Amino acid sequence: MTINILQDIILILFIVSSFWLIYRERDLRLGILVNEDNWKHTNGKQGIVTTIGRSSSNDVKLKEHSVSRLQAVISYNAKSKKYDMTEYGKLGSCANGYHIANHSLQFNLPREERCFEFGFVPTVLSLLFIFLQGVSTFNQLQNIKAVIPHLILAFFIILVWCIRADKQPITESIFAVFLTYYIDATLYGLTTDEEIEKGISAAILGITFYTILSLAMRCFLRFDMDKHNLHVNLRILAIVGIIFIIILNLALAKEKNGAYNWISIGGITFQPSEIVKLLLAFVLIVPTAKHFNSIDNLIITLGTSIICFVYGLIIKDIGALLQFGIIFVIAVLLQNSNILYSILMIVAGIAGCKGVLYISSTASSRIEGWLGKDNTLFESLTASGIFDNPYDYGYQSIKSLVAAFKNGGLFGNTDFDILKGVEAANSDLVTSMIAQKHGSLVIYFILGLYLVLIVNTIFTLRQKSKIQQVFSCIGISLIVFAMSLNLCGTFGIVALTGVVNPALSDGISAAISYGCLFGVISSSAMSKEYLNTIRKGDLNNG
Amino acid sequence: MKGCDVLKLVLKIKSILTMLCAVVLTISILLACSVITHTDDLNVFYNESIEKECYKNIYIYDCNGVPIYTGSFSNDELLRLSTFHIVGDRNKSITNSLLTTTYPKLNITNVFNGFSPTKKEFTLTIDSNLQKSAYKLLSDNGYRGCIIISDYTSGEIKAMVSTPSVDVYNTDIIEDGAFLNKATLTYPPGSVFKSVTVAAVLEKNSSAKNFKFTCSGKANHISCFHLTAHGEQNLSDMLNNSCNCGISTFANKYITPDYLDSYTKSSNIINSSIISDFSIKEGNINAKDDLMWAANGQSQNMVTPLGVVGFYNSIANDGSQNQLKILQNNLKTNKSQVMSAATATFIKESLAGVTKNLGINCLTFGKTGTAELDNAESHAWFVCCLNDSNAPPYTVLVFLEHGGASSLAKEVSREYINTTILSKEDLI
Repeated sequence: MTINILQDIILILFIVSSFWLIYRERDLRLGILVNEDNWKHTNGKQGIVTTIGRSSSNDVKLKEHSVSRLQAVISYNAKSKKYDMTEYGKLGSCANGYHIANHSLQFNLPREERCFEFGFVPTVLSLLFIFLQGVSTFNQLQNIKAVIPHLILAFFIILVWCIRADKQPITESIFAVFLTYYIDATLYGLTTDEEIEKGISAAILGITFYTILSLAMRCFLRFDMDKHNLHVNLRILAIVGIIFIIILNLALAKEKNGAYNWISIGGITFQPSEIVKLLLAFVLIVPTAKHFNSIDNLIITLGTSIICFVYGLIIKDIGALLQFGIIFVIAVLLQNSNILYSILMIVAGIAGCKGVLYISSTASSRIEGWLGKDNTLFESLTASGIFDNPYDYGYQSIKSLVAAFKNGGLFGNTDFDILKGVEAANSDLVTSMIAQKHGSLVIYFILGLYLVLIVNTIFTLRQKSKIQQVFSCIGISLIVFAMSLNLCGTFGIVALTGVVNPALSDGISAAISYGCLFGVISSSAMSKEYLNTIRKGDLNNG
Repeated sequence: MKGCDVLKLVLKIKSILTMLCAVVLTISILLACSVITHTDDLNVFYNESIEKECYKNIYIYDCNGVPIYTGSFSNDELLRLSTFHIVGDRNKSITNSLLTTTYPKLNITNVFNGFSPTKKEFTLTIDSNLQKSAYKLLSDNGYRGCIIISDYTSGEIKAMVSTPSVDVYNTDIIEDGAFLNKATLTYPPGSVFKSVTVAAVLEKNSSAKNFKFTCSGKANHISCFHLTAHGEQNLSDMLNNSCNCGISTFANKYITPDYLDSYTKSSNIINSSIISDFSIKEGNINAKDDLMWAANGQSQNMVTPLGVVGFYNSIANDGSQNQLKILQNNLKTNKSQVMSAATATFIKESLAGVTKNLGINCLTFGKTGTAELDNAESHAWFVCCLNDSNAPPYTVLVFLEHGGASSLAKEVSREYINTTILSKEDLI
């Protein structure tokens, strides 16, 4: 219990310090100052990438017909100390600034001497947290190998601290804190030495997957997708990948809990739909220069979405269907310019999800179980439905509530396990398992960490390229959506969906998708050189 | 993002992410509301879970280390049936059983940390072989009643069975009264109470043992069994012959109803405290209404079979009574002198005749009892103490509910002692 209390204190400090850092840096100027004569077009808050064009969505708006809607995209290359410019409209002139039509733009960098000071505080706190989790796990299993996954996490945190320009890896620290619970979930309920050895190997494998995929995704998003048709080629590859995985799934899947979404290859069992949703997200994102509304793009976007949706229907995986829907809706909302089109797409997405209820008997019975008998919507949303049917539909959720809030108390209970023998205690019901072990306060700390994650993403948007921004938004929406479905399903606030909790639940397939998505969220286009240039006030015009 | 005219991308992203913040906050509130509105329900389910866990942490062994209950019931059906009234079940059907009383009234509402189950181990004084044999003897013959075996030198209960019983693994058919432990309930004692009357009188007036009486089969409103005239008898004969007329006249001459009432209390025969670690019903003697019938164990007398065993233990143990116990490591038992050694010896010698031709291959003394009921078959009692250095120091009580004449209980007792107690080489 002492370790749990210390961890609670660390998490409080982590959340408070993270919010403080985010608040302190809310007005940082990390973009390019664009001036025209004495007229200031941008103040540097527009982000790493500055767009110039006639459209009102551009950072620099030039209201002249001879200027294209998106004329040019400009960013500062700190290595060459030059401004990189990609022109999409008719050519302007770059001599001594940028000249287009009657406009003569001058570029400068802002000066931010004190940015990202004390950024190490959340990192240090997360390392302390990981250390305590390691001690707790060692005490529990009495096996020194059990701390290896924690060491990998600590190494990961130190590594990202080193490679991040801002030395403020808040997202990665939250990711690491979540992953310590993933280790708990993987090692849950193991008794024999053989089981423990296997569990430790699984935890090491899972943590390695999560961290490496996260780092790989960060590196991937550093590429300029507009260059060399990279995005087009990768998009085709992703669509082929989706079709291949769907065929593989349909050929090899075995039924589990009413869904055909588990396949086993080489001794590793995973859900192919986890990879499909990641690829779908990539397919639905268009880079800076592309039209979302173009016919080509619509065919690809709608076609791939429909394929994925039909796939979800065939395998009867409600959770996957809902997540495909969320990816589709967010991508349309962000990238589409036509309101009517957006509304139609969203209505189609919602109608599709609702249609599932009529097709899937499992889904409709779960909804019925959640609603209960004669409950108002608020009563159902406060878990009244599960108490109407405590030994059937509500069994798992009631067990979860009891385990988390009664048995776990505020500071956790390792002496008595109410979830013992309950199916999916360390996957679908993982929040309850964690709360039982570490105390019910942990649930609120996890939600607090999600708030930090979201707010941090909002305030670090300026460090990202446009494609990173869209992908981050889809990624974090997907993660928060999955967490919400999992947590609410666990405690009877919504119907059970079978969606696992990102970076918390046991399982390797979640590591593939959520590892990449956390990499997307933590991706940044800001280099050390760029930050140093801003700090030093080297206002090189390039 | 060329066509993004409706709203700037960053603004859109910020709007979506702000909505996500709202979702997270809403979940926090709904979760808190769920827990607060269902606190009572959760407490009920939590206590249910704890209770189940507690049952998994109880371990019960017999005096030889044979497991009776080790987090789950034994696979030995006969052992389960014979120990049901001691161990109980997980539905708390037996209120005084070990499973029911080990964790009484659990109500865990601690908000800081949850329940920590602790392993509870019990070693009983019960010998599972004696227990199973006793149960088998009663159930095979279809008798409803109880058999109690007690070590009179220590007060340890070596066997306590009650029939009919319940198999916790097969509860489809349950006989009437199967959940009642007859060893702990009260019944009219009949003539087994005569020893109490004699002890009460002799403790007050030792010269009363010279009392003589001529029985004509009827005295005042008292009659002997089948109006048998026992003729001229001394006190020993009266006990030996179980003469109602003689004992009632004897009591009427030497003691008052109040004295008999107080002696039954001081000798613990009606007290639930006769046993230290098992809850039993309190007996009742009301001699004021009719001292003469009360002296014979009739009238309103109600005692438990365990109370009778406790009293006869003290006779066999020279007047010294050890509180009965069922838990081997129970050190809190009381010891009391309920009668003088002389009184005890007198009763022992008097009752030796009862078992003289019984066919038991050791020295014994005992007392029969036929508790007559108004509108039902009589209860049959027989209590027998092994008073031989070659036999274990046991008191054996057989009680057959509505078993008719005491001769049946006597026969059951004889068979049990010969086939189970005296045949056990390790005990002899």
